Amino acid sequence: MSTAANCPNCGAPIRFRWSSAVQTVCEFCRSILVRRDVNLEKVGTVADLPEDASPIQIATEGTFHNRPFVAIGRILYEYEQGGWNEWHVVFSDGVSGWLSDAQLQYAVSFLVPMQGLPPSESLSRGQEFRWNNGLYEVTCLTRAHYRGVEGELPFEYWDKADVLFADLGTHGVGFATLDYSDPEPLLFLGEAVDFDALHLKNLRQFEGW
Amino acid sequence: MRHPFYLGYGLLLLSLCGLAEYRGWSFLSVSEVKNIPKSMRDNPGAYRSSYGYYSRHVGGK
Amino acid sequence: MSAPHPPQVKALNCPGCGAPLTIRGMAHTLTVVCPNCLSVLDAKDPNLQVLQQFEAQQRFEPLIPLGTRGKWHGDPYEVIGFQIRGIEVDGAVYTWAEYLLFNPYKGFRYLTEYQGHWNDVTVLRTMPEVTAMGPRPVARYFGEVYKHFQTAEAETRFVLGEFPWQVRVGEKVTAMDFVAPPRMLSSETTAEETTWSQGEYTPAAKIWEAFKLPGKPAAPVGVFENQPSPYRGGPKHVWLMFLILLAALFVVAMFTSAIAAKQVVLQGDYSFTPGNTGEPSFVTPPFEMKGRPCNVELSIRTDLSNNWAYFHLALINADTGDAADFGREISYYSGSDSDGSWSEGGPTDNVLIPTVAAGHYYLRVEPEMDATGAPMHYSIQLRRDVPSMSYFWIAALLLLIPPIFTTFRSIIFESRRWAESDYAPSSD
Repeated sequence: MSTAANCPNCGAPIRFRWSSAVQTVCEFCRSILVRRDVNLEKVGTVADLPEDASPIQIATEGTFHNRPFVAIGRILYEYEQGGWNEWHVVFSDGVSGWLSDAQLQYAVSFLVPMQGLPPSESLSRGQEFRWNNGLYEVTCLTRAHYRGVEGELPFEYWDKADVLFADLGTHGVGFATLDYSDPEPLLFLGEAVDFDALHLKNLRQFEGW
Repeated sequence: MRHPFYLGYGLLLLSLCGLAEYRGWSFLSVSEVKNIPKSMRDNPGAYRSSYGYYSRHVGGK
Repeated sequence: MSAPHPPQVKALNCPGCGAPLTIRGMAHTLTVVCPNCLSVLDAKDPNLQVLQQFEAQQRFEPLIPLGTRGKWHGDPYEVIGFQIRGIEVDGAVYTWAEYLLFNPYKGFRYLTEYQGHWNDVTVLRTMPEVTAMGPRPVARYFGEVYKHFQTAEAETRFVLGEFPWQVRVGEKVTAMDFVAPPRMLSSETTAEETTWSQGEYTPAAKIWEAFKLPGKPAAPVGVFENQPSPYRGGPKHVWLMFLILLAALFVVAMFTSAIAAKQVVLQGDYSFTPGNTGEPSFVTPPFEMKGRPCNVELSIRTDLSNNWAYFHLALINADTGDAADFGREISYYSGSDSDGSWSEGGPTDNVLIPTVAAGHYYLRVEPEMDATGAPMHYSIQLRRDVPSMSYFWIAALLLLIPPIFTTFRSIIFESRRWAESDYAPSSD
């Protein structure tokens, strides 16, 4: 599953944990590398990640509904009221998903291709949508900007300006996000989960805890 | 067992009822008189009821 | 490579007064309050810019000191923030305390305290459904129905410690409480969003034990909105017990009634002429009673009509010379007038003589009537071992006392709970 290459900037060995990774970050020179066919191209440099307190780290393992996954990358977002992490997780069957950690509230979601997603200007809190037999209500509209990336991502992601994110919830455990960072809105459907339900291993250690 | 005291109380009442029936308790207040001679049978008028004599009762509307 | 691991407890100094500050919430902390000068500082700013300086008319001390760690729900949590919020209802201000608990893996939770009542609060990920049920709204959450208790504007009045959000004194939210004791749901609405949380009523002793607090917690005052009733389910259960006991009583009553001998030991017909100068008293022939000591029923049937008679009676034990001496009055009046026919009293009398032992007995009878009037014809019957239902009726009434008492107390408790709500019957 992992392929080897060298960083075009500093020559350090790059090892992909996931064969479908599109972007990764060189651990040594912090260059953002995008995979174009067999070559790696440097597209930018990632700033030092800000001080962050997510207990998840690259190589953290867990399960979601008995399906094991590994965290292999992340995007760090910032907004007026703080920040959150979107950890890119890959399941043992190769499926790519997202484990979000927003002030230690966790959710697992998956990109779902969907037609007819609303334009960002039309969104308001309380608006309801029906996707895949679930009724989702807009709970929160956030204008955020990307603050940093790490590890392997399934798409190219850097240098994004303020972007609108809409969080939606159901009256059950359902959770959804509308991501307006691309010209076309993206829908992620999933569930809010408790820390214990994820059975996380290889977590970050905090001194004194 | 949510109400052990109530059950105990209820069983106590039940036992008292059983005892009342078995022993033949009654609410009638009765004067106990002792040593009535057998001769009273021949002369019942000689015995004076310890209850005293009843003054006349007026009843009706 | 992961982000650098900063030391977990950061030591800083307040830019305003120089007092030392501690950051325990790591990178989650957005605002931190200087305990000395009560400045709200930007924790993300390297210079700790002052965001707000508030004056407290009254300084509040947290009952759980900031920095205290305790084992809560199986995990270690540290108290890192404290705030006092208040609502104003009918001119009176009610304040409560909120404690922010932090665990770097499990996240944040809260403990709230009001007049000694504590609640264990978590923020919900799922939104409850709010519907109107009759005149009162109701919130449904995972199958449980919560009744609306109160809607009020909550204002932050005092803050200490750290918070993962932008806290400001004076900040207002519309707070709605729904209760399903021992749980409650609270929603907080601002212009930007609505957050829901669920609280579970917790005895203060549990908190004192978890956080190893000294001394004893203050006794709670009054009844809190989601405080579980000590009679919870009680009235239903005690009434069920009542029915069981009543059934048992009925069975015992039927059984004793069935096995009672009801044996006739004396039967006689007599007459009495008032005004007669002869000796009114007489004795019956002797009769024998066998068996255990039991009651004896004396029945007198008369033909009295608009008259009365008094019977001096004595049941005499021929063997021992002991007697039970008593009197019975029989009166019967009837007629009719403008309201219809009426009657008072009755021509017959039944009475139970208590605990009569086996032996040979006779009855002494001495009737008494008004000197004028018609002669009375009457019959006397004695039966031994007769069922007496009056004790069972008394027992049934006595059985009613505990369930009525419990139901009454439960109603009082609930009315004290709802007295603090939006639905209290107004006293003026």
